[in-house]
Amino acid sequence: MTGPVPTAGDGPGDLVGRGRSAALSRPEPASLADVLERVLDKGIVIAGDIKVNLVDVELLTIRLRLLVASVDRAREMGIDWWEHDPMLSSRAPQPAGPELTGGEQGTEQRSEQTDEQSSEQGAEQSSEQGAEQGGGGQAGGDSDG
Amino acid sequence: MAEPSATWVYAVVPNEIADVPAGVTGVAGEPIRLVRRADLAAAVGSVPLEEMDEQPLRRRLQDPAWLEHAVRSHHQVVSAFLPRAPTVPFRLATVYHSDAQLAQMLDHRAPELLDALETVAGRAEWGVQAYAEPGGEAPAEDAAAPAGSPAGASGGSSTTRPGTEYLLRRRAERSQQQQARAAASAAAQQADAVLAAMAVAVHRSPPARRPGDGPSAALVLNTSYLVDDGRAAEFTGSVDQLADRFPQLRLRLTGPWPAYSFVHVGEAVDTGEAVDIGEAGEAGS
Repeated sequence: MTGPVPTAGDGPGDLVGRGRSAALSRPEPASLADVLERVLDKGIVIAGDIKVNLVDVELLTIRLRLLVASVDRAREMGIDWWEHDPMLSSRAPQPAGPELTGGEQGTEQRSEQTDEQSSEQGAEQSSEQGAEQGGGGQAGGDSDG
Repeated sequence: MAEPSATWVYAVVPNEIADVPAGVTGVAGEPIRLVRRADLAAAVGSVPLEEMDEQPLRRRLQDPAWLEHAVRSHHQVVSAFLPRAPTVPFRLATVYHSDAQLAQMLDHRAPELLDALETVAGRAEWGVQAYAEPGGEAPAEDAAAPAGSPAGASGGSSTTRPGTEYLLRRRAERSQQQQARAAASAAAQQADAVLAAMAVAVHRSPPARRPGDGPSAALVLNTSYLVDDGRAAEFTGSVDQLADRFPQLRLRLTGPWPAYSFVHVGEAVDTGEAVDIGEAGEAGS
């Protein structure tokens, strides 16, 4: 995996290719992502005396280390910067001239956006869109759809 | 004089529980104890108020290192109870000024909490993700390459329009990827149906890329299943069979989990995720 975020599992990598049948008979060790999406997002939600809104958790600042939650949850929190970044969304106002944001981060963000569109709008249709948008002047990036 | 403390809630279990599991400590390294009230017992820890009052807690929640530690600790405490009692997990950071305040909550919310205990008793949550297996389809042929172009030519060949060829090849690849993903998605729906038939409840998350996934991972299923303990072996065995039946999928199984995904009490937030209770399989009661 080449993204900036370690898988941070409790055991061997979650995405290691596995043989079939017998190799899968045991559940895999839970990754940090597995735990996060349950402990932060699920369970009994009853306001205690001390008011903390987990929505306040600044996902963007911890993104490099933890990358939390699904896109829907992020949107619920009002985090939708990718929809306004011209590099990531054709719906955002486009800059006058091409200027690629450098580095791995940009690539990863772009591919996240493509995936989000995919999951929201229907796989095939948005994959086509994503391919169209991503095709012009940019490297193919990590689009998988 | 002791420092003022607050009460951090990890989980609720039936009050029949004898004691807390040994050797478990909480988010502040504190020992875990029980606050008992009528038919319920809350697993709690006393945490320094100085660290866990509103401002400090909000700051800590924004510290990735602390957040990771807290999440892991919280989950460890919850998990420690699972083998010995029906366990209703609380979300992170439910904190009361005192045990007395917590006890009031237990009084007020007893019906819902008892309901939640009934939902989870004798059951566990299992998570299944399915990814479109890269290369699960036939190897990409240059289906969109114009006739006569050199098959498999790499850059720097004798073609006069390498840029066009590149784009065409990429389009062919994407087309292959789309087809592979669509096929995987269809397979995932079938797999989900098989697994759901063995569960008493299902919680489906949108298959957006999960944190930690590599750039080429194509998630097509991300579902939690609430399964009677008596069917757990059948369920996990089915995941194996599905892996064989659907080579276009890579399946990932985690569990058994405390039933985080199946205890909706209080201010449930609509995340657009689907929860089905009483799917297909008969609830073994």
